Amino acid sequence: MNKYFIPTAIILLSVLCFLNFSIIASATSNNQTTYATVYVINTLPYIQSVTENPNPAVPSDIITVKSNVTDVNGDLNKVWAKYYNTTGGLIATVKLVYNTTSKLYQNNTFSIPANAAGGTWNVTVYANDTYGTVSKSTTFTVNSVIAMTLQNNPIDFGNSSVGVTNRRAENGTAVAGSYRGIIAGFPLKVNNTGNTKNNYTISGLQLVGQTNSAYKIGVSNVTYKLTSAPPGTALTGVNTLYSGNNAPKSIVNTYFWINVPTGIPQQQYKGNVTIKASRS
Amino acid sequence: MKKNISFIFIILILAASAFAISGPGISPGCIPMDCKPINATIGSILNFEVRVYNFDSFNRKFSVFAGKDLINATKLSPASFELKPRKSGECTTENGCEAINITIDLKQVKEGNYSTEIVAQSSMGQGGDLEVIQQVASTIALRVREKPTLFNKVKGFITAKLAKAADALGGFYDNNKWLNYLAVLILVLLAFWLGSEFRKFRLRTKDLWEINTFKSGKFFIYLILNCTKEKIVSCDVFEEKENLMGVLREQLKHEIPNKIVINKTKECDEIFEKFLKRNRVMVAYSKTRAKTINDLVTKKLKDVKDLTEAQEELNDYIKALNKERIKSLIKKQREKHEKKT
Repeated sequence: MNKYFIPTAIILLSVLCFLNFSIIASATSNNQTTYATVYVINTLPYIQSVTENPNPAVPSDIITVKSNVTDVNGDLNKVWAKYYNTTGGLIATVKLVYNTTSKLYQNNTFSIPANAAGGTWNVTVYANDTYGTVSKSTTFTVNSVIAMTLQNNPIDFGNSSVGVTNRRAENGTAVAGSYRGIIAGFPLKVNNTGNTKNNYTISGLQLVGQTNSAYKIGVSNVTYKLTSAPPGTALTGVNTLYSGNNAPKSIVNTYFWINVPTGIPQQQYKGNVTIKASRS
Repeated sequence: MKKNISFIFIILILAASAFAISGPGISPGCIPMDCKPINATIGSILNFEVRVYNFDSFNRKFSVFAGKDLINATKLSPASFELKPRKSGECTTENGCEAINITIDLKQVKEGNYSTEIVAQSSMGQGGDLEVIQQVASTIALRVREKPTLFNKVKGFITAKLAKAADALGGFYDNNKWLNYLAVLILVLLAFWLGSEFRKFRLRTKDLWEINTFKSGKFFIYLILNCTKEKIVSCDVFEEKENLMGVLREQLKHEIPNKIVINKTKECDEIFEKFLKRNRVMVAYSKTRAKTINDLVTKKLKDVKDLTEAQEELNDYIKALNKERIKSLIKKQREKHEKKT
């Protein structure tokens, strides 16, 4: 045996062991496993926009509200809207439904109440998921509206003889040869159907003979009053305030009479009465 | 039972219909919404829009015209139209709505307040002796003034800017409530400043009192330092031969004999030092600088170093002796005192 065999073997073994250890260490090092914990955090929904239509609106208008709502977690629970009037009072709560075409949440079931006050209204959209609720608002204008309806019109005095004074208009009582039994001007009901207080003015034009227009009955022969007992105030051609500050939904009864002059031929006479509503 | 339900249903429908908006309508009821007059200038052209509605369940014919003031200056378009029953949505004839464009030309209009009406008229038709015509009117109130002059324009501009700035400041304040603390701090500083001013005022009064007291001879010695912006004008230590001074001199002799008439710095120093020790020094304060030597004395006596400084300061004062000025001051005070008494 070579005298150098044992030392050489020891050296070689040592080198081999070192190399082997290094390789194992290297391999271990390259295959280290890192454990990372990822927490998936829920977030609130996001309301990108709220739009309202029409703006301005008027009472009885149906309002369409649209909202772009997103939720990254996809756990959106519901979307709804609340309507508040000019004084901040809650008027309605409606549910918004997702529209696949517009890709927006929308609702068009809310109608502005007929007597809603004019001014700035607010609509607030809310979105809720398991994490919480968010909201976004927008405002819109509800305009004031002057509106009215008339009931028991036109005004008809039935058949009358000349020289008769304070002959009332038709009140629904049928009198053979005189009244037909309808209500036509006794009273004329003037109903404020707008959302603001109104003043009413009245004016008229003379009654003209329908067969012979040369004969006329002066406008002042027609009288009116807010109660049913004559005498009334003579009608004129000029707008005259006769009922002021009438609240929405209020009805003003107006009673009419005619003084039939003498010296006019028998025929039908026709004229007109104008009722004007303006803001008080 | 069924009949009862039907009856209740009908009643409910009737009740609902009674509250529903109906008939011809015009909106808004007045322009602007708050019905306050709009400011306008002669020569300008104003444009507005009102909407006419048919809230009935049948078609209606409408005509629109201007009423009350500015009839000739007002143009409307369209002036007549037919509307279908109102449906919610945009303002179109099909939806029972017509937007009326109004132009008011103020070229020929004189200065004044005007109220013009936009009247929408509709009739239910002739059927009886008196046809009833319904009119609904929207009001536009105007305050027409002459075109503003250049001065007024500038004034208006500045006013508007100031108002805007005030608004902005108001907004800034609304968003920065910490300004309250700043305001409190300013108020505290102001209070301190006012306090110091009051002290000065009080010292001046004291000054006068002390001079009068000096003149009455109740004190045996008096040292006057009259200080101005230049710090020192004079220092006078009784060289006057007047009776009062004589008394004082006599009294002083007990303390510092033969050193009454002082016109040398050294002597003055010595006297002052004596006075300091006695702590019986009266000081007249100048009106421009109320500095009390008494304070100085009280403070300076506490340690020698300070005393030395005080003496050095005093030396500086004495260097700038101005006897004439002191004389006149004393004379003036005496005259005042005599006048009072």
